[in-house]
Amino acid sequence: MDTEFGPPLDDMAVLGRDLTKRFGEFTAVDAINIDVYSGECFGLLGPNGAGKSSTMRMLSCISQPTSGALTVLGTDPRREAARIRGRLGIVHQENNLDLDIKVVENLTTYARYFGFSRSECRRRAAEMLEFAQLEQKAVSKAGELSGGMQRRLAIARALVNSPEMVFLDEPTTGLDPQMRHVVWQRLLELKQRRTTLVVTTHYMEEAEQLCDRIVIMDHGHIVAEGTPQMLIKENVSQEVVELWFSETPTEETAAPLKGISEQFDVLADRIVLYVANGEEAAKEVHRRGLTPERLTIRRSTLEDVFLRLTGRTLAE
Amino acid sequence: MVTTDVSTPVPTAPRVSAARVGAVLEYFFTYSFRTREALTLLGVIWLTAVTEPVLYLLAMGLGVGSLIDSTIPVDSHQLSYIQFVAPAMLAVSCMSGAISASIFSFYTRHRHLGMFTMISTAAVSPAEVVVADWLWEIIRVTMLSAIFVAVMVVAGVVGVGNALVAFVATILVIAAFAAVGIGLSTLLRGWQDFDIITVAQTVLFLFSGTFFPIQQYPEWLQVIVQLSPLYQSIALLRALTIGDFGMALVVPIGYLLLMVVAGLLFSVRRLGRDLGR
Amino acid sequence: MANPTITVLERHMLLYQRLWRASAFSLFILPVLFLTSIGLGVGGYIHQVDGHDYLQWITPGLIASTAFQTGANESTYGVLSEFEWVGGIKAMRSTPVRIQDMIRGWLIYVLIATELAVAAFLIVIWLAGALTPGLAISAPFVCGAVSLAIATPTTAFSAAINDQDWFLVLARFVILPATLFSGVLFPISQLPAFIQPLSYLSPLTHAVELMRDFAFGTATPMTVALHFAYLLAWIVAGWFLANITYRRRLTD
Repeated sequence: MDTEFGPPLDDMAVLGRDLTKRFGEFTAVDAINIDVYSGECFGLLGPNGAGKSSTMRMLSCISQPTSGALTVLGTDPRREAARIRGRLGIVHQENNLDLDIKVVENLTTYARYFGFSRSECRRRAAEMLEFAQLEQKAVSKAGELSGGMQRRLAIARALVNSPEMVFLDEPTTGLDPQMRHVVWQRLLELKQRRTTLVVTTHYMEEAEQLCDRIVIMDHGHIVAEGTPQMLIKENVSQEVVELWFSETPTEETAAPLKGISEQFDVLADRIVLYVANGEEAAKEVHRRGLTPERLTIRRSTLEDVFLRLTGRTLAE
Repeated sequence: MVTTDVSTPVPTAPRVSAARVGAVLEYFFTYSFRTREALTLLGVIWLTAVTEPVLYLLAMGLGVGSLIDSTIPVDSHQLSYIQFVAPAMLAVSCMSGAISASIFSFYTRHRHLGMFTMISTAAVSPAEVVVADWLWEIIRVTMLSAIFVAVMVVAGVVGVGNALVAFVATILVIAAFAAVGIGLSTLLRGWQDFDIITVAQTVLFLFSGTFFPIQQYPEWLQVIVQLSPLYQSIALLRALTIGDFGMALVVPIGYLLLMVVAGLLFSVRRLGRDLGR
Repeated sequence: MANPTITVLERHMLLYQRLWRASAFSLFILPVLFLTSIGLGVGGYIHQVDGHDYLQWITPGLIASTAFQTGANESTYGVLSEFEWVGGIKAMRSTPVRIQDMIRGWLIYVLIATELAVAAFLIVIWLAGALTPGLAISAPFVCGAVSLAIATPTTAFSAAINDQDWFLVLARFVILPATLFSGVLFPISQLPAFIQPLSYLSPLTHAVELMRDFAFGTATPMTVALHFAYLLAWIVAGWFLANITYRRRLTD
């Protein structure tokens, strides 16, 4: 039965309160609260150094929080980290494959770490080869695979223990767009099987495609959380007009825009204007005598949410 | 209609310009000293460099040498065991220094760091890259051999005059092994091949008249051993430390010079092919 | 259920398999080279040491030295590359395998590599017709112990550094002096009196004495127990150090 605030507590895959991670003087994660519901795809967004990876490492029971309370799959990782990891699948940013041995050996060796018998490992490896569409490459050396194939192998390897929850750190960084879609397809399939997914990414498109719920992190804090649609609706308007300038625009350049929209950001190369109706706003811009080099109108995205909340772009 | 004849070769710049080689050397220099940690580590390594000759001379001279009561005949001289073995250890130290400097660091920088691909796009020819790297290795390893020779002088194994001459000769030994080493490193397929280099070095180390005169061997083996580059280096350094400056030195010097020329030419060709130039 | 230590060992053995051809060659060739060059060559100038031919006298020590080198060499790049380049340890860390399982599995692998090298050495001696029962029975135990005695602290060291140049420091300050001054090539009594106690710090010295005592039948229960106890102390200390450095590197 659902409670007033969401699903019942035993449906929580992760329950984190005041989670903090410090490295000496540096605070990577600063007292954040994080909840992940069973069966959802949960996204951690933010620029490099926002604290996403440190958060992931704590949630996946690889590192211990400096302070705060954490429950993963109903268990306390302070005491039972190894046992919890047996129920998780973890995909790091780097593939960490053994490139000199065969593809199938990469899967069986890893499956053995979970304590399965040899024959069970072979069975699971075969299943995962199919999932990753690598049956043809089973006896090739892992080092001979393309980047996209290695990524699929790394993901398949993390699934070899039929995990209840899977952590993916930047699953598609460095892949070409076509490969990215293949990987997304695999992840959507997992979602349909009701596997809980926790994904970090700095691709907004990825988050919008996959995630049911998102938190945006910056400087070790959570700056916003909600569904992708909600975040867009609450923080930015429906459409975005971008005015591109060859010279860096100033507040002065932006002055005539007041009244078209109260929400705008002045960046190094452009002014971003958040409006309900892009077409009308564009006409108004020209009427007021502004002459940007180029003007674009588009739907607002999570990228804009991040920009609105932090005043910075994700690439910075 | 006027056509431009593109087939006419553009007059090529001299293949090795001192200025560009100098620039590459400067780059290696700044790269090596790029961080405080790298600098600290380098300092520690230099400190340990002194321990190596001291340890070898102690072990071979005091330890093994004290078990040997006879002197060892070399040409017309009768040498104590430490006098016999010290110049050989010096040659071994030059060889392994030059080999590890050229093979391991060249390999890492070329294959893993892609440094040479980067440099050679900046209008530097493969020949210039090879020469710069070769000089860089010589500079580094020569500092080690200088320390070794100094320790020999302090230990009273060799006089100052002969030591200076021997030191100059170590530069030639290092240059020869570095040139060949760079060439070999372009042939390596991966880390597994380093094992072969290590075994080859051990064979040279044990069978080049390092620890005992090759007259101990059967005649046919002596002929083979004389082909060893380490044997030639040892012969050169041994003769110089005992002040034997004769025509006989022409053979080892010629041998080492040949290694320099062949090694460099081969390296330039291989690197050129690797970089697609 | 599969023991996690064994599953870690399985991976190391799988990775070793693709190298064994190259390493088998050097396993057999190096003892031959050392015995002929040092034993026969240098031996030609040395009459007798402690009443034995030089070749006979150095053989037990050379076996121990080979084991010592294997333990040290395996634990340098082999460990560092797992952390820095291969990422195999990071992958294990994502599974129920615990840190002590990783270290145990790794050390058993080093032990196997050592015993293979020792076996090759013994076969060479046997082919030369010089293998005694004392040597054959004691070598696997003494060599295994001395290999682990150096492998555990070296593994700890390799897990603590991130620049391979530190191995040069290790080689020059620890491995080389231990190899030269542990009584392998000449009796420690030849060294100046103030260096001799330093020699006894080296685990190799104790292994060399054990091997010689077994080979020449001069072993007494007391000395055997003391030498083994010393080697064990190194293994235990190194084991704890390795646990500390692995933990520091993997849990943050």
